[in-house]
Amino acid sequence: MPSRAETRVSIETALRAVSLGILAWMLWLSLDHEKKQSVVAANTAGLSSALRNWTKSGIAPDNISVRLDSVPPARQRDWLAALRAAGSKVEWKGSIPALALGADAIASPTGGYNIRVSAPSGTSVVIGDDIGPIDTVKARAGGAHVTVRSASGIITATSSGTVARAALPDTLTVRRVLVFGDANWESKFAIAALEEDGWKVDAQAHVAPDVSVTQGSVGPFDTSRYAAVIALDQSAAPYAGRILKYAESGGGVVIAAPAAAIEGFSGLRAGGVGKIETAFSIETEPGAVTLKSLSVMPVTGMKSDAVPLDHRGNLVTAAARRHVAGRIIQLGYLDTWRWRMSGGESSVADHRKFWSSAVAGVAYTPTVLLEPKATVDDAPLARLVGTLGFPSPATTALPTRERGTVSLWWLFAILSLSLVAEWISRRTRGAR
Amino acid sequence: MSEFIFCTGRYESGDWDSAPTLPANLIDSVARYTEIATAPAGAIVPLSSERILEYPLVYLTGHMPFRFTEAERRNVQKLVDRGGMIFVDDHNHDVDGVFSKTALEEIARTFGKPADLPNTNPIYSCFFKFDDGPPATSHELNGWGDNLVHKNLKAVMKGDRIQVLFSNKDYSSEWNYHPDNKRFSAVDNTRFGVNIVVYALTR
Repeated sequence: MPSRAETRVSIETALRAVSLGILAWMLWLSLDHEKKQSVVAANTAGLSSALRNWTKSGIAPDNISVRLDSVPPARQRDWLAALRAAGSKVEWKGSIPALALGADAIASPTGGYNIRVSAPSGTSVVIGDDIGPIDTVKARAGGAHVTVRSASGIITATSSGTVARAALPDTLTVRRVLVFGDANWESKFAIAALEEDGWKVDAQAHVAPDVSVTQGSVGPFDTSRYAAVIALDQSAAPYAGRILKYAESGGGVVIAAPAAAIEGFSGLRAGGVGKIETAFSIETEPGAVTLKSLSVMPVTGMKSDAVPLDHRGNLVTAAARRHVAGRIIQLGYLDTWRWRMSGGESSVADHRKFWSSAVAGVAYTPTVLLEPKATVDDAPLARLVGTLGFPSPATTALPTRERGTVSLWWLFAILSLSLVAEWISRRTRGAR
Repeated sequence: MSEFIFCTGRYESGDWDSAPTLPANLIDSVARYTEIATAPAGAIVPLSSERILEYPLVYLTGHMPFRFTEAERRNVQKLVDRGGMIFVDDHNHDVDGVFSKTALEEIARTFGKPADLPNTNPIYSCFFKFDDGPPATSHELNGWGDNLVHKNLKAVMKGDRIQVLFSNKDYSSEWNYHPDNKRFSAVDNTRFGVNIVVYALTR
């Protein structure tokens, strides 16, 4: 059995070994900088000042955790991305409703923009521009839509603190419309509707053999002159070949039901032409005529690339397709002028909108490019995820202490204690 | 597609039916000279009925004092506002006659004051050409009525479109005969009526 002195020598040896081991560990830790972890955190409100502080320190934090209740502006997101590129581990948490914004110019002489917002159903979204708020819409079925006549600068959508920004679309060049029809009420009032909505219309109304009433100067069919051609009836038949070439070059064509049967339009139209269907069940007394009460020649046997635009029961009453570079709409309605003349109080405006929308849907409208907008941020949440990745699960918590610093302090304390204990043990037994 | 139906407006205040064969005669002319799909028979529609809105060109004539009822005024205003056109002809050929005086008052009250229509208006050239403006009638040339050859028609315009056309030339007498009798005329005197129809359908 070892003596008491021998036991103490053994303990002293062990303490020296511990001290040397700790010194070696500390030396290793001092050389391995990767293990030094600094952790910082911020929330949405404090993110701006936190970013400044983290950046001013000169050394990027090892871990950055941000708790968000709205998407921070693009500048702050980019700042976080820059810190991550500098070596910080950046994560974010929070359940932020998605918000996205898009704006399209309306192909119409009166201009305006279709603004579409994607947001969770029931969310209120404030639409605005550089001047101020324009409208507040409530999202339904995942989105909302608003049409504005004018806007200035950047269009914004604000919901729950998140702001989406979209640039105004490029300006469209809206050219003239060419109408072919017989001299009848349908031609007259279709032209009137377009002109009332601001379209410049050239028209040729067939009156008698070799006699037409011409409005404007019917020029060459090309997209440098016309945004769209409207064929209202069989009077367009002699021009079918030229209208086909016009569509192939990018021009828009609206084919009304009586014109759809023209053989030369077989390559253009969205489908066949059905027999006349009269809506017997709908009240058509004067003052009650609506689009739904008009007789139709439905679009039948739709081509595979055609898209139905409107229905009446099982009947397709309007359909669209693309032919080479041009867009085509085939309408099934007959005598839309009756809707204008014998409809309700809004029938003139409704009839005008019907024809203007049909033309706007196909019109060839080259854009005048505007300067790119640097401040566009049309889908902030998507861009946040694109920049910083998906949010971390709420249960994941970063360490709340600076692990590297704390372990060194402990090691230093143990080292000091072991050295002092070894020194006391030696001195108390008389050794040097 | 619907056909063009020539519509005579029936009003309560006077003899709206004083030219009963005029519609058939004009329908014959439109069908004879053009390919406009035209109904073989005209329609007689009360101005007080909203059915009048189904006829965007309405012909009115008479000899007697002319007044719109409130319902008639409301409907013809709506018809014109929506793009229709009204053709009013003084069957007396007399600027001092009661029809002319009262009809012009009523037109002014309902649509605005009519003004002389320039003889260069497209209504004189949209189908047949009338270089001197409205063709003279035999009533004018024979010195009947006011003993005047009226150089111009009157019109209420919206922009460059005629909303209400007013005539003191008495086309209601000039065109009021059976169409078979056209064969006895060297020149068909209803040609201007065709222009009125073509104009209404294309402007």
